[in-house]
Amino acid sequence: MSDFLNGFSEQNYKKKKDKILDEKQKKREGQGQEEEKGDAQARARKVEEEEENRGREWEMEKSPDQEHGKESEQEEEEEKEKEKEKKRKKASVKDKGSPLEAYTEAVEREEFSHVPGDARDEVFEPDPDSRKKKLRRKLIAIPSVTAGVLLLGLLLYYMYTVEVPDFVGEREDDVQEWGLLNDIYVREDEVYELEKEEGTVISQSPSGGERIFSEDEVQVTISKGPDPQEELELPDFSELTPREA
Amino acid sequence: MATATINVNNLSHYYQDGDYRRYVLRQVNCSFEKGRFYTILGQSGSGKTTFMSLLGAMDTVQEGEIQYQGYSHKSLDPNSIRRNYTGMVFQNYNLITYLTALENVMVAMEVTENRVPEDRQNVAYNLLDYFGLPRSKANRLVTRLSGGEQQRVSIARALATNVDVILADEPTGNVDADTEDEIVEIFKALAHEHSKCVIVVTHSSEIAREADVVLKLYKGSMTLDE
Ligand SMILES: Nc1ncnc2c1ncn2[C@@H]1O[C@H](COP(=O)(O)OP(=O)(O)OP(=O)(O)O)[C@@H](O)[C@H]1O
Ligand SMILES: [Mg+2]
Repeated sequence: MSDFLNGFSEQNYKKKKDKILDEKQKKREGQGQEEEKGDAQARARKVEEEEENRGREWEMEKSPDQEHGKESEQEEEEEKEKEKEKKRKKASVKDKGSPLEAYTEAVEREEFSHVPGDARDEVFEPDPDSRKKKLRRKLIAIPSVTAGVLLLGLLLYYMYTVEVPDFVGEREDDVQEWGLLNDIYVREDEVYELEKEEGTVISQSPSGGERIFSEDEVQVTISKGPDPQEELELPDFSELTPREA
Repeated sequence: MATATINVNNLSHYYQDGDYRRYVLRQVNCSFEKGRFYTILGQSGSGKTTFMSLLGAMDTVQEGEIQYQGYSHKSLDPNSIRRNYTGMVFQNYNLITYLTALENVMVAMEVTENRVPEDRQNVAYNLLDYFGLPRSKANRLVTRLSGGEQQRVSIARALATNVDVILADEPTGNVDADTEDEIVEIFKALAHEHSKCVIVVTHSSEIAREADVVLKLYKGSMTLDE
C-alpha cells in the first residue's frame, strides 16, 4: 500500500497541477527562444512534447478564432513535423539491434515456425494422476451405481406397496373402507364366534405390518356372533335346590 | 528490506487436456520491484494472460508460489490480493458499463481495505483529471467515452485501491498509435514518479523499448532481457 492517493486530495492535487502547468509553461517559453534561433531540434522536441500532452489539451474546446486560416497553416506544418519525428523514432528502433529486437524480428520472420501450429509454445505432459483418477472414478462408480439402483428399487417398492394395518378387533366396515382407499380387495370369511362381537375381525392374512402390492388381496375373518345352532350346556335344574336355581 | 514487491517461485501452470496436462508455464522464477516498468513479451498463446491472471489472483496457483510483499499467496485470500495488492488493466477495459467514469473509480475505493483519503469523490475526480479526463467526462457513462478514454478510466480505477502493483494485459491493444504512446507515458510515470510496480503484457516492441525490464515468455519459460 502507498500514499499515492493522498497526492490527489483537493489540496495536494491543486499544487501538483499548478506544478505540471508551470513546468509546461517553462518548457514552452524555453523552446520559444530556441525556436527563434531556428533550432530545428528544439522544434522537434516541442512537437514531441505536444504529442505527449495532447490527451490533456484536447479536453479544452478550441476557441473559434483558433480555427482560422493562419493557425491551421501552422498546424499543418506541425503535422508534417510530427510525421517526420515519428519516422525518426521508428528508424531509431530498427537501428538499436538489441536482443529484444532480434527476438521480435525472429518472431516476425517466423523462425519458430518449425514447431507445428498452435503447439508452438506448448509443452504436453501426461497427467500423472490420470490413471489414478480413472481408477478412483471406477471405484467410486461401481458402488454408487449399485447404490443408485437399490435406492430406485426401494423407492418404487415403497411407491407401489402399502402396509397392511392390524385389523384384529376392528369393524368390518372400516376394513372395507381401507380396501377401497388403497385399491385392495378385502376377502371376508365369516365364522360364528361366541366370544367376539358380531362384525369385528377375528384374524387376518397377511398380518398387520406387512407390505403388499395393490393387486394382492387381504383376507379377514369376521365374527358372526354366537351360533344359533349351538346348544348351550345348561345346568340340570332338577338337581338343584330351588334356592340354587 | 530486500523483499520484492512480487516474488514468483517455481510457478508452473497447466490446462487439463484429457489425459494430458498442457503446461503453459513451467518453473517460472522472477521478481518485480516498485518503481520499475516491466513488459512481458511472447507470442500469442504463450501464456502471458495466464501469468497475469495468476499474479492478479484471477486464477488459482497450481504449482509453485507467488509472494506479495513477502506474504505467500497461500496465506492470503484471493479477494484480498485483488483488492489490496494488485490493480488490473485489461485490453477491453472491463469497466462497469452502466456506471459513470467517476463511479467506476469510486467502486474500487469502496472494496479495498487499503487506506483511502476521506474526500473520495474529489480524489476520484482528480485522479481522472490527472489521466486526462476532466469533470465533464468523469460524469459520463463509460460507454459514452472513446476507447482511449475508457482505458484511462480503467487505469484510474486500478490505482484507486492504492495498490503498489499495476498489472496490464495488452492495455493498448484496442487504441490507436498516438493513444498508445500516451498510455505508455502514463505507465512510465506511474513507475518512475509514483514508484508503482508496473507490469505490462504487450505485443509491441515499441512499448517494450520504453520498459526498464523486458521479460520474454517462450515455451513456458520466462527469460530476462535487460
Ligand atoms: N481456461 C483455459 N482452458 C484451457 N486452455 C486455456 C485456458 N486459458 C488459456 N488456455 C490456453 O493456454 C494457452 C495460453 O493462453 P494465454 O491466454 O495465457 O496466452 P496469451 O499469451 O495471453 O496469448 P495472446 O497473446 O493471444 O493473448 C493457450 O494455448 C490457450 O489456448
Ligand atoms: Mg492474452
